[in-house]
Amino acid sequence: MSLNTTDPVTEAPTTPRPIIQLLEQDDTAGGCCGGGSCGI
Amino acid sequence: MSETIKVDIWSDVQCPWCYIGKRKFEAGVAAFGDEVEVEYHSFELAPDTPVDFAGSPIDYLSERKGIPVPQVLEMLERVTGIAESVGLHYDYDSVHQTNTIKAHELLHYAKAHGLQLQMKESLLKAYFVDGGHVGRIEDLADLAAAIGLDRADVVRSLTENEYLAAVKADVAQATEYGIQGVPFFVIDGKYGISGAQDPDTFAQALRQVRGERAATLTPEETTA
Repeated sequence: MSLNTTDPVTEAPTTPRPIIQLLEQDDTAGGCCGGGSCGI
Repeated sequence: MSETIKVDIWSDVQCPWCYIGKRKFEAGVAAFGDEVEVEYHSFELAPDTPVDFAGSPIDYLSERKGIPVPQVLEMLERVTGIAESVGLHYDYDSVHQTNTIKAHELLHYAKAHGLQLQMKESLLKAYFVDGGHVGRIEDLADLAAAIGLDRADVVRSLTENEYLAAVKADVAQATEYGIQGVPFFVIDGKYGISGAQDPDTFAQALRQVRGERAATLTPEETTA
């Protein structure tokens, strides 16, 4: 008996890949969130 | 030789940091030195805003979001100053706070016609610099025609909500990625950068991706 572990159908992701945040970011850089915690 | 690096950018037309971030990103790409493919995606900061909102961004932020007026003024003064530092002359006295759903539909229309980057720049400039209205179909059609799009067809598309589903799909994708603020940059489908970071941050991230790609090339590919 063999196990097919590379079936492209069953291995297809159903959710987006997680985004890896870069460490070099400045956490204080400006952004907009619609008047929420970031202000604008 | 490796393929061009793709950068997906979530952004809203009425986001002051998005325009600043656009300039900083462009400077980062220039420092990086290689071609980069850019695609803009929709993010609605204020989807509850009426198209003909009778007030300024100050009114919107104070009345709708409950931020005290002095704090709003301080925020706008700060962001206007930073915009100046990257060559953008924001004129908040002329800004028309509005609903940007149609502007996002237009960006998708422009993408389908190969002019999304030009349309994005035009919409941001109209909103923050020129006092233009980016919520009404007729005003949007004028902006579209100015960059070479077919005005009548733009009116048709926006009236028929041709790209509304595409806008909603972008918003849904942002939610799935966990994006809570914009601008948000996704480099090569895997690295996220949030906010109007300095050019060096973008350049460094692009170099990192280029380096990772080079490291995975076979000897045959590196000599091709």
